[in-house]
Amino acid sequence: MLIQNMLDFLPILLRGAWVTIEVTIYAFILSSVIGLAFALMKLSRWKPLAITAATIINIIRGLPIIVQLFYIYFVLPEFGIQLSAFQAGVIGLGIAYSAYQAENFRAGIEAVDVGQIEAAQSIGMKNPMIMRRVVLPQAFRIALPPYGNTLVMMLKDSSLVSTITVLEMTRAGQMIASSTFQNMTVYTMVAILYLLLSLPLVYIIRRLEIRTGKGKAK
Amino acid sequence: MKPFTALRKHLLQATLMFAAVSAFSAPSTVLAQSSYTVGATSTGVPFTFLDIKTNKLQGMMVDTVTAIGKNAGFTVNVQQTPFAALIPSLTSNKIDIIAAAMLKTAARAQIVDFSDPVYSYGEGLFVNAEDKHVYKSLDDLKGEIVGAQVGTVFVDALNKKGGFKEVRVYDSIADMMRDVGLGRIKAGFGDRPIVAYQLSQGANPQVRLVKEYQSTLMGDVCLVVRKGETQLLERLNKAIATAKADGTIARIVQQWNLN
Repeated sequence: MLIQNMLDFLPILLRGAWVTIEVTIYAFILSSVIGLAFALMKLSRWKPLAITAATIINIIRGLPIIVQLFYIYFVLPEFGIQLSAFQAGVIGLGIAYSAYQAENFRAGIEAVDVGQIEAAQSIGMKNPMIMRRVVLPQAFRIALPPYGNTLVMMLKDSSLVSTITVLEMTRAGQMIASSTFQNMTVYTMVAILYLLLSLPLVYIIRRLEIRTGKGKAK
Repeated sequence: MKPFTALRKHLLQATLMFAAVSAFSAPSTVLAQSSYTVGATSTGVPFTFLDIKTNKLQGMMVDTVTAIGKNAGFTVNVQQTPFAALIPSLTSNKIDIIAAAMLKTAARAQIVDFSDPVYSYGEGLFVNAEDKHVYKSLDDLKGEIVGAQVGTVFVDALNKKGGFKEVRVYDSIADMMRDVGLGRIKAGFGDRPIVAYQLSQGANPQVRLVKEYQSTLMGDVCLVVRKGETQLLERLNKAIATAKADGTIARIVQQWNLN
């Protein structure tokens, strides 16, 4: 009986899990691109650019993700922008997380020793080249552990897109639970599936931390 | 045989799409739209919920809107939507019709248009299975502890009525049933069809629905469309009238044990 139930539920949950993975990956890429742009703007020596980036980041951080999602999905159509639920979910999550990504990248860039930049300047490198060849490669390594943690957080927060009708794993679980009354079985399965997705990520991040010397290897 | 039916299906779909597109681009044509997107919650047992065998939405309101569409000459594409997102989805054109256990209220009617009612229900009363008393009205429960579900109109109504020892508020009907079964409260109130369906599915054998109890807070379940879509509303109302007259709706209600 229990096994049969689980076999019935699993395909529906797995279809939801796939949507969860898709939303997470696309939103992660989007948030990385926007986040890097914000980080570079914020570090700019031209003040208006830095202030603009700081303001946008603060606005994004001050809004609940659900409100951002509702705004993109339900309010933008009033201005003629019609997005599918999936698109709205990816864009909303991507923008919401870009603020945190920007801080990760900024911290990474600032952590690169000033001496390195001076050394690069002394051999005649121009600023964009210093950024590309000296600063960003090192900043990326420093920012890698928080970057990975952001991915895990995003995997979990992707369940928020269920509020704008995206049928991801949490939503699939709710649907099964309410039509079968099997709350315990369904939500236990959902929890295990999330762990199967997130624990390997946590493990990989831990390895990276050890490799970059940020964690204490035992 | 099979490939031909598939081909015919594709041709039909292409024709339908062409019809829909031409109807869209030329509003003056008499051609009525032949397919609508319908929003339904996926957690509203037994009105709209997931069939885990087919992974599609099923339920009394899904059957109803399908039958009404058939009468009116359009097909429906049912899309799962959380309850709180139903009306926003409608007003932002994500869906065209709401088919869910959504009661007609004055506040909602200011934002959206309701069709003629397809079904009405009120509160159901359930008591411990061993309690054989015949409760006919609220007065029979004077001085007792009763319960209702948070967010429902029943809580206010019971408090206003007064005369109870206590009115307890529960998160879910299941929690309330458990306390009735354990004898912690005398009786519980919930949406009658939902309570009846859950009990018929064996949700809690220690509890029984009081069949003789007369509901006092009746509400209408209707199909819902965007404000000002009078043409669609007329089509729906005409099809609802037909479905009522020929017994289709009665049959659906019967099929879901909702009478």
